[in-house]
Amino acid sequence: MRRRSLFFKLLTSFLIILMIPVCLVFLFNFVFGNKNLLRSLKAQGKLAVDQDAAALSSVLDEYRHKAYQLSTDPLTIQLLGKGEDAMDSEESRQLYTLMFSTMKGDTYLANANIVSSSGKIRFSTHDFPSIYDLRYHTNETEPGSLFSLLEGTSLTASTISIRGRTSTGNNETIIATIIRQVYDAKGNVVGYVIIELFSGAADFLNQDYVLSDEILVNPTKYYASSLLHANVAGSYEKFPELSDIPNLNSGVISRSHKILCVTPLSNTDLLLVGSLSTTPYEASMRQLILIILITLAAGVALSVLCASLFSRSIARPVKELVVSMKKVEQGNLSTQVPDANIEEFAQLDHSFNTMVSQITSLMELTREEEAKLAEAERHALESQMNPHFLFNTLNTIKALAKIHHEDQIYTITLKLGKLLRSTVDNHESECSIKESMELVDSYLTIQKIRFGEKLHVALETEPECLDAMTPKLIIQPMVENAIGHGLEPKAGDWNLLVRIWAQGEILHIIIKDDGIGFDRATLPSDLGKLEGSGHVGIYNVYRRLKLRFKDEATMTIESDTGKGTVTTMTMPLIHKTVDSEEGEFLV
Amino acid sequence: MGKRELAMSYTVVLVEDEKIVRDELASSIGWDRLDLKLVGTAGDGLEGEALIKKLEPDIVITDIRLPGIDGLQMLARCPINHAVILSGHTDFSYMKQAIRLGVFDYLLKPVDDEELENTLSSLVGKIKEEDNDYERLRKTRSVTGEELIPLPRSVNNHVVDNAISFIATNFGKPVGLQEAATFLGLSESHLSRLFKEVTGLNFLQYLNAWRINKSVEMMKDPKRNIGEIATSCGFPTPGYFAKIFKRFSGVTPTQFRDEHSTV
Repeated sequence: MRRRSLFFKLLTSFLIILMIPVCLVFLFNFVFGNKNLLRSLKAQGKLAVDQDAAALSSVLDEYRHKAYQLSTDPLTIQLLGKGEDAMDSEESRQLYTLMFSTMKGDTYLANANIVSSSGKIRFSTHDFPSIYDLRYHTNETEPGSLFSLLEGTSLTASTISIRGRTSTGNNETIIATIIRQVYDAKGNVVGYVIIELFSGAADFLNQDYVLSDEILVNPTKYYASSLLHANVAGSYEKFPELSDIPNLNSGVISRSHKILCVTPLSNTDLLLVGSLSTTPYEASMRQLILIILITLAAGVALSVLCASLFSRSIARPVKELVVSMKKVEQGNLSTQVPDANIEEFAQLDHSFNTMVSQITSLMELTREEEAKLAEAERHALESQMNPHFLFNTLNTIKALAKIHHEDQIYTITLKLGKLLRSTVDNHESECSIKESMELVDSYLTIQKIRFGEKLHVALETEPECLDAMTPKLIIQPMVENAIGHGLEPKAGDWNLLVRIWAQGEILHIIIKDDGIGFDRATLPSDLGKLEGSGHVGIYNVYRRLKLRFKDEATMTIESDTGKGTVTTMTMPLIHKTVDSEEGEFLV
Repeated sequence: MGKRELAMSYTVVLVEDEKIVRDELASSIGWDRLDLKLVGTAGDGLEGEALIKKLEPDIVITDIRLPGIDGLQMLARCPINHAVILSGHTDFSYMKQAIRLGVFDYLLKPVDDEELENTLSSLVGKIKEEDNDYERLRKTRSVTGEELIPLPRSVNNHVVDNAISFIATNFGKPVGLQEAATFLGLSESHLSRLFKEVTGLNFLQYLNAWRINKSVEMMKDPKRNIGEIATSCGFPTPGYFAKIFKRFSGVTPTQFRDEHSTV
């Protein structure tokens, strides 16, 4: 298994979480976003151009009709047939009235002009445009002149031209010119009616501001003029985007950075072309990519930061714990870990501290136990002179007693020897109840010889308790106490009972005497408080019981002055393990 | 040999440096009751050694601390099968050494006379049992004759078979139950019990019987003397060899050799 650092793992997961939404947005925009945007832009543009084209054709129709009215009015035909002086006649005023009434006050949107084919008679709702003054402009090739406008058009219908791009005296831009020839009864052309439409007549165009430009195109003459931008008119050279669309009547074309929507104007041979720049959308798309990239970069930076912070916040307490464990391994048991600021680690640290302090107290306990044992041994060593000499001397006394038939001396010597052996010569810390009771018996045998018939002893041990293991020397010292402090000062008979029995897994030992007893107040109920007091024997027994069995052992001493004392000990019943065969003598 | 036939009891030598103690034991212990006969006492190790070699007792009761040489050294030099030690010491290293020397029990001073009598009583029981075994072996010998003492070789018990092959390999060295047990990875008590159960002989009896058989083989070579044969068969001393040999065959090695060379 490969090991990776916590930091690396955290960073990987953070990055995955970050990448999924960003990549989805990115993918969606690039696969579907562009097409959708383009489609909706096209539809929007086409709709705007269609609406504008319909409105524009109706405006053109309206003025075409006005031109027709003026050109077919008898007054116009009559006047155009007269000389130059007719311009000031009564009929001319009637014509003006006719012209204004026909224009219905739309003179701020368009002007109407009537000129005779000779140029001698000229009427206008505004100043007569000099370019139509046929007295001076007879050259057909002159751009913007009447004849150049009429070139190639039908002579009976109204001609709509977009080439007459001039500005009038009152600075109106002309977007279209409607020209109609006036015939007399004989069918000769006597003059022309010219209506010029100002840009104001088409101010409904591009009201939604969807389009960047709207161009009126005459595809037969390869001429175009912008309806939204003044002074932008001319051949296709001025509109490079149009050059690519010959023979196009209607539809939508995509160009680089542009969408062109083409709609023919009804009843004319003109086209309305709406131009829509996609540049702002492309720019916003680029901006979107930029934003995504910046988000991504910021996200990565944030992930690195968070991962390193997280891993450090996890790694630091772990590291501290490891360092502390090393210290404990090296034996420094005073080590404590400061609580981490992450709850789980704080718990771990707490457990660790508890464990270390438990180890410490355990070691202290062991040390204390060892010290107690060492002290006990020192005491034993101090008290023993030369065991070999002692036992040999006892043996000699015993032999002498036997030779001289001194049975009591013989017995006392033997029992004293056994007693001394178990205290001086036995280095085991534990012994069985059987051994303990043999010792008690040795002791009591001597005491019986000393005190004669007045000492009555009852030793009652349940057979199943004989192999129970206890700390050594816990019964005999209490028996010695009972005789020394309880019975010896008492006159009359002495009774002593030692009873040992098992109840479940608990071993019970009581040592009971009917001696003088003592005032209960002189002994604390908790024998552990005897440390350092004069009751060395009792405390020693109590402490060794506790060291061996902890709280599973109890020891109490109850006494009534004049009635006697009862010592009770309980502890877990532990049977001797059967590996003592090694000591047997074999041949 | 003649002694036992007369009294039908086992002989005892007591070695103890304190006269009072010696006299006390000699007079207090109920020797007759125990079917024992105290044939001699000694006050130091050297005197004891001489006495034991002279009397060849069945049992030696001795103190460990003795003038001259100590009790264990004395036992090691003598052809002794059964001993009881009385000591003021409880040193475990003494006990270990005592076990190796075939000491039956180890009593601590001051010695309880009653305890000593109990110990001697069970020791007598054990010796009697062993004698019965020897008797049985002596009887079967007259029938076969291939070997002096017929011994079971393969007993269908893996552990005992291994113990027997251990004996077959090591009988010439000073080995005993302890070495065999260590070799087989068992406790001494376990091996001893198992061996007795399977073969009817205890380990030491079997080992000695094996050694005697080997010595009989070697005796056929007239150039080898008895002392040399005893050593190469793993006996500590020629005297001990002679005693064991006599127990199994009823005659001393020299007598045996004389009888068989004439045939």
